Amino acid sequence: MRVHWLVLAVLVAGGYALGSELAFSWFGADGTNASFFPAAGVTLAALVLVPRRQWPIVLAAAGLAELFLDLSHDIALDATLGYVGANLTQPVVGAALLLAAVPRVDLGRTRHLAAFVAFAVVAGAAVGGALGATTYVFVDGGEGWARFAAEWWVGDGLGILVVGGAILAQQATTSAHLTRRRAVEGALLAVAAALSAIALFRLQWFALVYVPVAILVVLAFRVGTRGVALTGALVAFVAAEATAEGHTFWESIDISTSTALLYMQLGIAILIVSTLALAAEIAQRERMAGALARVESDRVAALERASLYEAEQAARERAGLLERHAAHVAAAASATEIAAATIAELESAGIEVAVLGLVRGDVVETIAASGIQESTRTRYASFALTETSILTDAIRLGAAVVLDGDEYERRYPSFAHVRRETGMSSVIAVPLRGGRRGDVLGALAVSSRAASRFDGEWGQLVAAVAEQTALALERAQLQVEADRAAADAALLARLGEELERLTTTVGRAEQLARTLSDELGAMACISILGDDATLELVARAEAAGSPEVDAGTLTRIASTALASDRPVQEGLPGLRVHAMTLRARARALGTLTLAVRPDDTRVDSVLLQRVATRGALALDNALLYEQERDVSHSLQLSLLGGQPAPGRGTDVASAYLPATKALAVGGDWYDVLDLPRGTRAFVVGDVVGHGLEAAKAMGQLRGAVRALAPIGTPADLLRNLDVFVESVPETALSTLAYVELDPESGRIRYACAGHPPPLVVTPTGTTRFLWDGRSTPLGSSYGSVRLEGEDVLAYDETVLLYTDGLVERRTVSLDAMLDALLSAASAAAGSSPARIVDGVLSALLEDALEDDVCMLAVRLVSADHFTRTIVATPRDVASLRHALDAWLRDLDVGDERRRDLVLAVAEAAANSAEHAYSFDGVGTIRVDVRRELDGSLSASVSDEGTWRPPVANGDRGRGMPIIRALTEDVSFASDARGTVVHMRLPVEVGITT
Amino acid sequence: MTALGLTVHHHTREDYEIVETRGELDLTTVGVLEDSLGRAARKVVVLDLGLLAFVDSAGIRAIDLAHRHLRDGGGRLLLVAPPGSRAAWTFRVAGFDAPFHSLDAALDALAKSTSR
Repeated sequence: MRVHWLVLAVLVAGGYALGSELAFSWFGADGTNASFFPAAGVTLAALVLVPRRQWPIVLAAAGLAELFLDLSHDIALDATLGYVGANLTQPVVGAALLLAAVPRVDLGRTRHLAAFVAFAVVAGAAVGGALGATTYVFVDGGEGWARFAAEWWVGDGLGILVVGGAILAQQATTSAHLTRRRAVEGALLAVAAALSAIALFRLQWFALVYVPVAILVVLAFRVGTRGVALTGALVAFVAAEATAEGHTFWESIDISTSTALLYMQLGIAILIVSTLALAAEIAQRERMAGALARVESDRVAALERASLYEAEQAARERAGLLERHAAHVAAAASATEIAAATIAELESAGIEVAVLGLVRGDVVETIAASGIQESTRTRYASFALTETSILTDAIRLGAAVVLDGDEYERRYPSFAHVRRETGMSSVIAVPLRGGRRGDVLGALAVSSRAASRFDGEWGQLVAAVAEQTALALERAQLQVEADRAAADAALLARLGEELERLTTTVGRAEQLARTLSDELGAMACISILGDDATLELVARAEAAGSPEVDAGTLTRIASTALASDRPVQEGLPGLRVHAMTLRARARALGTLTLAVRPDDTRVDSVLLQRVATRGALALDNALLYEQERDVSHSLQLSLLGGQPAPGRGTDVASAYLPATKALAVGGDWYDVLDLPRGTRAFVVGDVVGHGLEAAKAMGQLRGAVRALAPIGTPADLLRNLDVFVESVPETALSTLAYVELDPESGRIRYACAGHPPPLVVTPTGTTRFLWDGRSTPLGSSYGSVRLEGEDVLAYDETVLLYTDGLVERRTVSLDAMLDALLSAASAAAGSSPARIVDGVLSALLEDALEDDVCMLAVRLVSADHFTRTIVATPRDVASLRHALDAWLRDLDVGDERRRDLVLAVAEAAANSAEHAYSFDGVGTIRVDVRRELDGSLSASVSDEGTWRPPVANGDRGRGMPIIRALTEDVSFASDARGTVVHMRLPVEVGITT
Repeated sequence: MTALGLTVHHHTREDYEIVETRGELDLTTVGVLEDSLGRAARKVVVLDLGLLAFVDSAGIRAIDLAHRHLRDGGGRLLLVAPPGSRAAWTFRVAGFDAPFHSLDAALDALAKSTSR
């Protein structure tokens, strides 16, 4: 308790003076008699209540008051100082001891009360009494130390007990609930106690002697320490005053007033202490009871909290379940995964039976379930929407169906066994309603062995789970649809792009099959309808993991689709086959067949229809293109008339390659003419345009050249052609190179009308372009002067004529291509004209030809030299035989020698064709036959194959003996590059029969 | 000498079959002869080569193989090629025994061998 020092000083000094004056004047004490001394209680209480540093103020105030009062009561200064010392030491000792025992004094506690009585009341007052008695005897000159000390002890002790107790009791935390009513009751009891004390002590109504005692006891119960202390103080004052006044009931006993006072004080003190103790005990008990009550209420509160906590926990668990479920279904991609996640979540929440069904067309498919028997699950894996079940009811009603107990069996008798199997008691089925579209996607049914489980929160929980599931399902469905649409668009785009790159029907069919197989993981087949109305399989592609299916089944299903002209779908063990007619421009072209795994969801009739439409158009375009190209090409070939006939003094090879990349066939041509004047003319030309028109124009131009060439020189021919093209406009602006060769002299005359220059290649590989004789294309409006050039070919020199398709490229300059032509021709110079043509074509041409390419290679050979290159086929061997026979006949070689050499050379060539190349139709065999100056004939047959050694008794053995029998000087040289057989037929007549 | 190809005629008799050939017997035509001999209705075949314009080693090989085939099956192949014919010359050149000079000679030989 903090009080301003001045207030404290005034209160203490005032209280002390009042208490002391009461003792002096009112109670009749003169300071030397035993007296009730209330001032001692003031000092003690003040010291106990204030902080220690304010003790000097308390002591000074009390000391000054004592000093002043003692001096005013004519007590000598030295004695006064002694009493001051005693009166100050007494509370200091009492307070110090008390506070040492209990730092904060609460008289409502028995231990505190005991400490208060022992230290402040008994011990403190004893010290004060001893000091006071010593002062009294030795300073004040009084007598009877013991008596004085005892009277002081009792008087001051009672003062401390009554006044100090009353003051200290104010801070007692005694009664828990000192209500206003109790306070009034306490006040009334205090008044009653005071009145009864007055009646007892002043009026000496002895009958009332126990009333104050009873009242104090009652107060101890009802009001507590504070009431007891205050009332005790009142009674003490009344009793002390009455006793001091002489109204004492002790009169009947023979004792002095002071002794009576002493007894009375002791009695009162004991009474007060007892009742205070009682009050403290009661307070303590009340506190105990309070504590017990608090414990009880705490317990009750804890129980309440626990049940609240449980409810909250359950709510949190449900919220947690919803949260987990939301997370799981969000992570699930497919409807099956979403359903499985939903069922798993419900299972983890202790749901025994859960079934999720989705509407697929007219049926409900159970895509996830838990807690039901396998047989039931299999039976209801898929069932009609019209079938009566709790799922279909929820779907049809679009609202939750909640059933309990027997209701389920009554409503769904056919599912009674499910209830028996699962032991379910309550069941709920909730529709799965998509949020965006509002469609009922399916239903979720959940049951429990607990009765009425789904009436409250659980019902709401299942509804919430169903809602989340439906949203997820809808999302997945939208995602699947979006993915599909994107994938379909990408597939069609890829198909379009890839098919456009190819031109042939087979190429496109193969690409279509490959792409579909690749993209859809399916086996894809394309069949084309032939002229005889049968399906021919033209392309088949399989992807890793695509199902295997035999060709017969595929053909059967494809034929069904073609016959019905509708998409056909057939489920087979381990696979599903889709077939569809490929139809473009109202014409059935063939079929598209796809085999997929049974669980495939990517391929359906919609996708198939789109793919088939796109594919059919691409195939139809290719077919149309090929038909026209085939017509053009065959016309072209028929006009060109195959390989040019060998002629005297020349070895000629030709090549015609139709364009493959676009519809560019037709227009390029070549011709070889034997002119009446003994020369041979070689022409290569290019008619403007492509296709059938160009092929027809080429035919006409070629005819014109044949008719006009004999008339004059090359320049004359061009001039005459200029006139011709005026009448046949399709041939205008055609270009051509024309070379006329005199095999006797090797002299050539040539002219080029807007055409690339012919190239001469010597056997050693040097080259020269024939740059003279150049003028504009035929019928050119410039009307240029027609020029011609001349040159001379040596034996074995080769002149190359070609069309611009060989040397014109979009990305490479003409000069660079002409250089490439020079290099390629030079590299092949040593070999036959056919080899030179091959070498040049393979060096210059790319895989896909954008334009036709036509080429002629003409070699001037000596009339005494037969040279021919054939490929390894029996037919070429036969034609070689005939050509050699004709050449020998021209040379007037006798019949028998001719017969011998022809058979020997033919056997050698057949050997090469068979043993070096196995008649592969590709390997080439070169035959050279010369008439030597002495008239003998020498022949060499060479190949580039791997010559296997002759087998002794084998077929191989036949040819060589014949050669040896017919010719002389037969040699056989074989190395890594190939094999050469030489033979010579002497002038003498050969073997005759 | 022009490309003639090979034509084959069969004349089936009671005990034997006469196969008459014309044209060129070479690599391009041996298949025709082989097929014809394979189709023969009798085990004994008289092959008339007298009208051939050309025979090469492939032709001789085919005839040789046919001969072995018939012999293995209990039959015979008798060759007929008059002296001066192309076939006779080729057989000589190839080191083979000369064929019978005429069809009659072959049939005589056949009659003798069967009567024996």
